[in-house]
Amino acid sequence: MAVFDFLLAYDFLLIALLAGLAVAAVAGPLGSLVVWQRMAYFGDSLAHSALLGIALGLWLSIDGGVTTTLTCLLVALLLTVLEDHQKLATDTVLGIFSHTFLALGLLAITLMPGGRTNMEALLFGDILTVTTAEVITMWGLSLAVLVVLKLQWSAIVAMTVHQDLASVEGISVGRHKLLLKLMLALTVAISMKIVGVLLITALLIIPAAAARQFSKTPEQMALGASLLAAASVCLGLAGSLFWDVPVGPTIVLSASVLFLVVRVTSRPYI
Amino acid sequence: MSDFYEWIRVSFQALAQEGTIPQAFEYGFVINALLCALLIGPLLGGVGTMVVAKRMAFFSQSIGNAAMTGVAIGVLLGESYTEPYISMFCFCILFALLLNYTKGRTQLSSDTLIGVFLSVSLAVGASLLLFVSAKVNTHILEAVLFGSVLTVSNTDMNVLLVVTLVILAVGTPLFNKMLLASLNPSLARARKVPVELMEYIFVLMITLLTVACLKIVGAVLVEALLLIPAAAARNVISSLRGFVILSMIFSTISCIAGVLIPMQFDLPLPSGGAIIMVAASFFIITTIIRATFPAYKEARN
Repeated sequence: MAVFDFLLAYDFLLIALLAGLAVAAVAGPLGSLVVWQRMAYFGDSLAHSALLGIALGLWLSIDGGVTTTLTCLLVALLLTVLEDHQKLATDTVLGIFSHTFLALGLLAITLMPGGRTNMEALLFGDILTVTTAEVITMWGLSLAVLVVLKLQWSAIVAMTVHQDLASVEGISVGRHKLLLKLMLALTVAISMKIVGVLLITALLIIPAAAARQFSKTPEQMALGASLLAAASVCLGLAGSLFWDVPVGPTIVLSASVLFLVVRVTSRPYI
Repeated sequence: MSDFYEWIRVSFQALAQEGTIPQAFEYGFVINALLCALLIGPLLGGVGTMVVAKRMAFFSQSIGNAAMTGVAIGVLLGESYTEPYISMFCFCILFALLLNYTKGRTQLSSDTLIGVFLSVSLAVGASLLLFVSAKVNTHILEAVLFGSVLTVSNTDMNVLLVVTLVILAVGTPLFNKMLLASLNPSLARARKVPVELMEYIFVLMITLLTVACLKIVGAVLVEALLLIPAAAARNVISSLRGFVILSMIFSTISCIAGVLIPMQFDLPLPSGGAIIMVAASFFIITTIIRATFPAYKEARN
């Protein structure tokens, strides 16, 4: 019971934990999809565009969460359109956009009139300042993404395994890809506060890559990744509590340690 | 070497006082930054063409992130926080070699593997760097991430100069072989080009470059300067020679403009961000040119 007393005494920790778990729940399945579909770079571009969203929120003085979500969704659409119409390699295009967004967001925030913003919190997350309202929004969005994923899961997995076969079976590949990208955008928007712009992709990829090691089915991998992400959130919070280090990097570092442990201890099925 | 730099600075300052060139050149650091930009520009532009051709964008980004860890380790080991080159070079080279070695020997797809390496190095780097910056100097973080021209020292210029010479000496004679090895490995093997070795040499070149450019462009944005000018050049030119030259020109102009514009207009921008924005505008312009003039569309393929 000591744990609960502790959590109640430090209610900001409880809120932080809840926020972290909301992100972990959705990071598992979406991270697995990112790994399967090799969308790591796409996730990175989205994450960097979140910085632009924050800058926009500051300029227009509206809530940063709203502008971040909208910007991420818009960028996901933009990238989808551009990917189809560009002749350069996809990773080049995404690399260009990801860095342009980062530079643009950076400049917009630096040029903000009226004082400097805390860059560190934007880049590496600031889980301890999450408010109760934000936690509720996070869980709402996270559950919404999970429900949509659950409903479309078999179609998305079929598309991942074999695109042509899936489209022959009547699954509209283009629509599901777009759906996946929009869900990724939402995930990025809610993860922003937890791990920051630079580390979102890490939180998506590392648990999924670790879970891949011991999973036999796609569902196992998605669930395993969620559990590993949740464990990383807990470890990260505990670590930052005891050693007074920033939370975001510590969460990702815990995920890396778990990845190493899993890789060393378990024999791969694949 | 420092006498030589001093001589350049003094002569520029004399010119600035006469009014031949803009006032900004009265400051030593502006000239330092400009000299670095002149070295970095063509170098990144040239090597960038290979990065785009080999699709190694993600790879070079992870090296940039590794440099962050390198800086943090250096500061922890007691190197000066403005020039922790020894640990940066050591760590990044080890990291790059390890990554390239693991790439062919794992069942993870190379995209995921690089993603994991990238994320881990970023997380470790960020943790250590935030930890160090709280103790030593809170401005390290932004300077390392996004570059800071104001603090370029003679040592930085020496390192950059040596790296430039090494890359020119190694890269120029091997350029054709490397290109062949990356475009068509089987043909390259048939011609007795050591493909594996070329790969390692190229990876080491990128690593050296990334570390040397860290001061000006920043860890997160170095890779953008490898990619964007090359991609912009590729938009409008079809021959290989033109591709390399145009990429160099774009990248040099971006570096110089990115260094000078914030100083001219007195904006508190990090140099890396400004440089990338100039480069990005080149990319946008060339994309528009390609879209409006069908002749270029034909030429590309």
